[in-house]
Amino acid sequence: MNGVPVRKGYVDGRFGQIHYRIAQPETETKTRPLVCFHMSPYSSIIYERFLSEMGRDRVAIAMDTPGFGESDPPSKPPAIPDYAGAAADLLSVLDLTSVDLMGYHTGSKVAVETAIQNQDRIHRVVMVSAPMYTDEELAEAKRIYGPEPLKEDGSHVQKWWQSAVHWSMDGRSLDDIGRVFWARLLNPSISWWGHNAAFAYDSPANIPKVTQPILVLRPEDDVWERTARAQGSLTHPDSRIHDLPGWSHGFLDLKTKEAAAIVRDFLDQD
Amino acid sequence: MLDLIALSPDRQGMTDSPTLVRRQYVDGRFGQIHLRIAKPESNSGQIPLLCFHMSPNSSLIYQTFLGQIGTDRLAIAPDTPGFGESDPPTSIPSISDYAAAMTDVMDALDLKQVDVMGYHTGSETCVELALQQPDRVRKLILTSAPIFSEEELIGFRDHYGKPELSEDGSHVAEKWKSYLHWAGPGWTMDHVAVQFADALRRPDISWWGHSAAFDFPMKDKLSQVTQPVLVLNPNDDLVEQSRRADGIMQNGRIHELPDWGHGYLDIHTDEACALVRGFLDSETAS
Repeated sequence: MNGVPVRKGYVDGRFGQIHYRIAQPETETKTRPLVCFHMSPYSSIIYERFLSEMGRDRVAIAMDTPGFGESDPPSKPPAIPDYAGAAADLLSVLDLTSVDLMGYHTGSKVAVETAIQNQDRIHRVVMVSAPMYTDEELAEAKRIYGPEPLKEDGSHVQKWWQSAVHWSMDGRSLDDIGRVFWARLLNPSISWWGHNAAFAYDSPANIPKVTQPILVLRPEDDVWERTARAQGSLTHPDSRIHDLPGWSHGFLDLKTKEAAAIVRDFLDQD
Repeated sequence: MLDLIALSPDRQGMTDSPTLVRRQYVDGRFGQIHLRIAKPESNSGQIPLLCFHMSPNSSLIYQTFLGQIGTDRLAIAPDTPGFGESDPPTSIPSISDYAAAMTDVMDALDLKQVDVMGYHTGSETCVELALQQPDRVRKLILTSAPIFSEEELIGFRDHYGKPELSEDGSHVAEKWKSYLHWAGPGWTMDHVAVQFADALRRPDISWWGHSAAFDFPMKDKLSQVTQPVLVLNPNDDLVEQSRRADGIMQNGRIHELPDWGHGYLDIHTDEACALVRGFLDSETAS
């Protein structure tokens, strides 16, 4: 792959140090930078190959959400607007005044909230999945993704590995999974905070507040059905849902160039 | 406007530390080197302390310790290239390569002279760095100073080779049980869980640290070190191998810690700092 190098760094934000990955072309471009937010629990490592590709023609950044990856945690369970506040800190420190955003699952909610809070700085938003839950589904999701006890026999970690294998798209190797799996084990006592914030976020109320165009990528993953319900919440005439049947978790690594082409096509319309 | 002096909370599950431990990158010969750093509020005049971790972990094992020892000296723990967040070399490295990368850290941070502290593989890096940079390394503290027999090396090389990944995740459960098995007194599952993620990073190259360690001629190298050496010997998986260092050091001694094991940096932080300070800050050689 002819990607560009991905480097890492820290900035200071309201919750402490924020860790991020960054890729950029050798020569400056006029294309707007792209800032990416990861799923829960994981980290910006899920974007590593994607950044390397997107960085060929623009500054491409992925932030570790506070409490994940190498970013310092808030002192108590945060809400999505807290994560968006940290994202705004990152934009300020890196002096990014005009950017596009991309989010993956929990990260797509961070992208929505950041776009609402910073309408003058954010131009376009890419959401990887935009699940809309019924009350019953939400109660079930909160139960499944709450704090989990550690087990002496390691069955808790084994279960997470099996889940990662189960939800991976065809063609994703064990090596591909192994390359990112460790990141979901970091900060074990608080790694449920990301899902906790995500399930408390009112997507049906908030997504319609986004005045910028939204592209929803809809891979056939664990929230495929629920993301279809987002259609009615997309208010901008340029917003749309792009179905990705056959794709699931791992597509940023397996379909890097195809995903980048879809994202570029949407972001570079204006 | 950002509040840049806002204190970042310590990692969950870890002791509150009196000194803030921050993280940063410097550039080295193999790419970016990630490190943890704790600074005293005012210049203490003490020589900085550089800490090297065991394989396949990261500088996270020193997080609590740095927060304490950093109250009176600059204390730094880099991630070895290929571990933690440090970029890997392009091919299997040797302990000599790791030591050279640590010289890059010293240069990047403008550290003219340092004391060094190592843990298992990190102890070998200390020894090699002391030989490569005799004028810049003043004293060494080694948690374990393993000298392996040929027979042991055959077994260890086999056991610590490239991990096989399994569809059913049995490899992660096995690794977890192994970590619990070697957890020292007082080191709970919660403590182990904090460190465990590092054990699963980069399964394609996570065996490089052990590979380098087993190829390092520790007995020969340790006997050449002229600087003062203190070997801390907790009752862990290298307790026997470390006793073989007795009598071969020019200027060193072994301090047995029969009631401590893996995790002592978290469980016995204050006592460990007292031992370290007692050795580093004494006028006598060792």
